[in-house]
Amino acid sequence: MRSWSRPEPTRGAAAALGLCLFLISAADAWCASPALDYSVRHVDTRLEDETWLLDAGLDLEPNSESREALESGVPITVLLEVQVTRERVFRDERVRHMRLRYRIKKHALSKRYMVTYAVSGKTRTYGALEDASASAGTIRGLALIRNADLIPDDRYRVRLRARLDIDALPSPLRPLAWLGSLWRVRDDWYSWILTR
Amino acid sequence: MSRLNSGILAIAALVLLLASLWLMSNATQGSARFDRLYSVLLFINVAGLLTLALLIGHSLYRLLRQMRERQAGARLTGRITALFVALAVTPVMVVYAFSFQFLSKGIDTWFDVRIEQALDDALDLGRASLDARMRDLLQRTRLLAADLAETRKGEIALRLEAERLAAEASELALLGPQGLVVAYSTLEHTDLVPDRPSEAVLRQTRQTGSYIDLDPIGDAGLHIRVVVHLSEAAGEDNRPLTELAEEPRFLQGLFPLGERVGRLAESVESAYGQYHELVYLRTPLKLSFILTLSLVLLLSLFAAVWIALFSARRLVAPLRDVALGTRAVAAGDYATRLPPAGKEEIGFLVASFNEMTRELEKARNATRESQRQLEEQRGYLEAVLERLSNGVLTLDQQGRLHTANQAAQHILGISLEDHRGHALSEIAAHHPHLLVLAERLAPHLTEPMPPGRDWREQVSLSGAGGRRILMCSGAGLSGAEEPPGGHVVVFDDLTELVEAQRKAAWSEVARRLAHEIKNPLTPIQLSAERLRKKYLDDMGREEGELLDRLTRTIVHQVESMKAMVNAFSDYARTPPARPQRLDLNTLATDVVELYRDERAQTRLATRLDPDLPALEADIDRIRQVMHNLVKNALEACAESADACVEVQTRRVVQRGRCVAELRVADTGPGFPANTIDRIFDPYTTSKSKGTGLGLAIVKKIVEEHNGRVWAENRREGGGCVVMQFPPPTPAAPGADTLAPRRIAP
Repeated sequence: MRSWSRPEPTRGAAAALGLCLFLISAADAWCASPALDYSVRHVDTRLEDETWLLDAGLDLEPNSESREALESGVPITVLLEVQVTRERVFRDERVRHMRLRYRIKKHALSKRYMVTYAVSGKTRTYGALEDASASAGTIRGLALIRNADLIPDDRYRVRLRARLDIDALPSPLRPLAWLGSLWRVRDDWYSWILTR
Repeated sequence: MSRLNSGILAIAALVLLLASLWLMSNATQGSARFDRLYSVLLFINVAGLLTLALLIGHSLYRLLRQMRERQAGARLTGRITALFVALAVTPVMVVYAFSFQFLSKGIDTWFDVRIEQALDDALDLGRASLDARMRDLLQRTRLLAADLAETRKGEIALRLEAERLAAEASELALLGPQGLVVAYSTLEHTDLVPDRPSEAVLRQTRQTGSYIDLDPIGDAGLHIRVVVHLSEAAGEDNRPLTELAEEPRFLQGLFPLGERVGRLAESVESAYGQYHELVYLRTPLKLSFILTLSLVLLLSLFAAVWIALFSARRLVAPLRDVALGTRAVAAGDYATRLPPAGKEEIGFLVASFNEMTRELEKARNATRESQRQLEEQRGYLEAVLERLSNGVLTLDQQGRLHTANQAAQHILGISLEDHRGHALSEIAAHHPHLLVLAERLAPHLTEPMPPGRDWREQVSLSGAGGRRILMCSGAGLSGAEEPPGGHVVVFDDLTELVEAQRKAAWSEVARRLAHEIKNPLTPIQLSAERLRKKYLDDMGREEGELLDRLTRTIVHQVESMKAMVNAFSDYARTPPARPQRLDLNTLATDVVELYRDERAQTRLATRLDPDLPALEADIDRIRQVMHNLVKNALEACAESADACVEVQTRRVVQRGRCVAELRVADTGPGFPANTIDRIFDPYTTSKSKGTGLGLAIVKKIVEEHNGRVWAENRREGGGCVVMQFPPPTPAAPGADTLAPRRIAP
């Protein structure tokens, strides 16, 4: 005999109320930790073959909601953004903008975390989330810009940030991610002068 | 046409919104096709709903404002809208409530504890079934590692290839201390670099001597990864170590699960993963479905309200147009035409309304044309009246003033604008010099005069400007005018005409006197002197004295008569004028100084206005005028004690122009009331001696200078002769101003 779990009578109402409540409470909870926090361990820019290359190591720290989603089999996508800007009086000019996407998913049978680089489709697996995060937060030899494209006397700045790609979440999560605090995206930059 | 276009646009927008909602619904249900568009679709729908809400809000606000302002058709539009909305909202809300319940409970029924447990068990079973194989593979790899520890470097590659084939591994690799590849053999010859273990795997291998676990490797699927420490494996098996095992090296083997086991493992993995993902997304999924459902509900509601508003406005529009058109017609706008409203009953009503306003407009235009013609005639009449030298007054049946032309005000010397609606007697109360006119006209104005009958009356007015003679005529007005009935009075100022006639007559008399009387006077005088000369010496004393007295009397009387005749001659004569610039103040001072006598009883005084305008006049003739007047005034004061003669000049503004006024006043007995009107006529005098021509000559000279002169008695006693001289005309200064006015007899 099949037995179904009995639906909780209050869940429907709670779901409806939830839609309203999270809209109201969104402002209060806005100061919660971001879905994916990061800290920059090291950055290094070097000139090789007349091209500026970037090496960087970021410590990525998914919050509890992101971890729970990962443990439940929901993939999350880390978006690393790198910009080269030219300093101006009022507003810096954006010279280059690059996005690197890493998809992290937990393999339930092997209990390993799979990190897939979106561009090449290459996948590596790690036994711990920390190792997977460290892999996703590592940039080696990323070509920033050709030296010839830089104006000699101008100052250039390299900016770097890591955040969760909300648009890559499953569609039911996206409204919550936009409006709720649990999936808040940190959007500040880590920047430094490109020393020539 | 614009309404049709806007309707089509609105319906197209609604259809697009519905399509967008359908796509979003698909995306919510996990359709990969629309998944990436979910955010865009949600934004489009929310933006569309907000736009629709704004449109509805604006329409409702406009409707409420129209209702508050009680605009035509607003309440009917409101009622129809409310009815439509009620009809549409009720079933939609019922469907929403049931759908909401169904979604809430339906999604919960997807999840079952037993299924969850079964999936967990399946996963554990899969792991357990793989454990035996994993242990076997670990043992085989250790043995292989022990073998490799004895192998020389040069034979490693061949040995790896042979062992990989024997163990059915997909990859065998010998790694250095840091995980760098020393040698490897792989099933996929396209892979240039073997799948290296992570640092964590190497760390564990260093610590425990071996590592084994399942590892999903990209597209290759699930593998068993085994890593063993070469020297430790050799040590456990008591093998001798070659130089290869002197350094810490690792052997890694990747073993595929086999086609069937691999497929089963992937299936269990996939089902487990999807179910747990669904469990995690249960609440967001409900919210997402409810969000989509709510958007559908709101779209339906907004669309229903908007369509209700739109339809109600369209239904009521012709009725509102008719109501507005009726108001416009009531306000006098007969050019109102309503847009056609189809061929139904309302269309027939609109057509009838348009026909009615068309006819009304025709009638109104005809009336306006008649009014315009009347106005033109009235304007023509007014222009004629304004240019008439005759004064024209119209009065109502009660004798109250209705209209007066400019000439009437000029002749009467007052402004009649403020006296409209007043009777002549009321006007005369403010202007006493019109009392005679009011009294003389009253009998003709008190009773209604039948049209066609007229009357004539000559009226003499005495006022500040002297005596004026008016010839008045009047008639009754017909009743068609507004106000109906009444009188018209036309009068002409005959003063100058009568004066001219009188002056001409007196001039003729004077000329004849000078001619007829002066000629015999000289023979009479000569005869008397000859008589005296011839017979005086021959007569006795008494007779001689008598003759001498009689002839002397004759001679004296003839001299007097000659003087009188000369005066008449002077009056009749009009010598050519010699105009020049004249300062009246200087002239007055000169003349007065001639008559000033310290011993005389009569005091002479002057009061001269320094702002007096200069004149263009014949100085000799003006001097003659002043001599006459001062002399007359002194003679009038001869018998008065403490008498005074004052010569005054002043600047007077009359009808916008400056006039020089000269007043010669005395404290004598004044002018007799019965002759004051004729004091300037020849041979009118109050003195025992005199020709009676002095003031007549004064008047003649003043009028030759286009001036006015009149006599008045002062309130404090005494008489006063007043003269006013106009300023010289700029256009034609000089002789023209002094040319005697020729007035037709």
